[in-house]
Amino acid sequence: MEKKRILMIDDEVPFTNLVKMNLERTGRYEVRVENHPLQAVAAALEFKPAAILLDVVMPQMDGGQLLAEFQTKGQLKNTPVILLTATVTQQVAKALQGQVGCRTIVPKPVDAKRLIQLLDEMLEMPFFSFRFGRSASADEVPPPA
Amino acid sequence: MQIHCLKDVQTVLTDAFEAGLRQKYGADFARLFRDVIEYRPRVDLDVAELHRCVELDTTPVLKDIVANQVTGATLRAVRSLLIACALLADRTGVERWATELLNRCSQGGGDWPATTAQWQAVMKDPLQFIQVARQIKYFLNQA
Repeated sequence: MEKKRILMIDDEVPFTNLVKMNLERTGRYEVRVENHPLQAVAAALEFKPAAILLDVVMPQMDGGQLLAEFQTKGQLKNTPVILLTATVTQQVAKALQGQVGCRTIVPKPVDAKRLIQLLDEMLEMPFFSFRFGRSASADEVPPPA
Repeated sequence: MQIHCLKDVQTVLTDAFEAGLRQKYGADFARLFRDVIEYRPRVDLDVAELHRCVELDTTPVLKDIVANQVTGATLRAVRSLLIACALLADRTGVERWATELLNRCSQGGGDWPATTAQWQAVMKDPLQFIQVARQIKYFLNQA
């Protein structure tokens, strides 16, 4: 099976090393780490990741600014992004149903099993379901006229 | 100056505090300590209340950052978060929000670029900022 490429953008070196190790240990992912936000767009364009793990608060350029940059690059526009952040607790993330602005958020410290599960689901599901956080259930689909 | 109402008294006292703090800690820290004095007086150093304030302020800030729609109101909320983290003696939180303020203020409009030196001062010595901020709140509570 071909390994899925994951780009991790976070300025915390020990944290990125730990997540990279956990993801690569599954044998399903090839992880590239970028600790310098200003180089992240170039790294993403070169690496062509299947998904991006993105820290929210970083020096010089934050996650929101990077997301806006990705939107201007055709190749990255539709790449799924998981936001990793220490700004919210597990409880707050739960209250937000794991979503901020249609993006999946994972609070730090990251539960490696949960992150792997999220990536597995995200990279195997059709685009619309993870982009909007969930699939429409049968009872939400209007009956035929 | 003739004092007319409680608001005037508060302003006079806050000005005096800031002037005294400026002498000891410099203008950048002193301006920020003024914000500490004015930060939610009723909350004081109540840990549970401070945590509640942090939780309340974080969600809209996070939404604005992720949407890349950071306005002056967002930055004011980030500054509140920084102060709340200082009062909670949360160094990581203080550094996190000072990083965000430094990042956004250098690119922002209005008066925010002028505050860059304040966040640089916090990043340079977060422990001193935390210590003095907590002492100020403690003193105001006792006064």
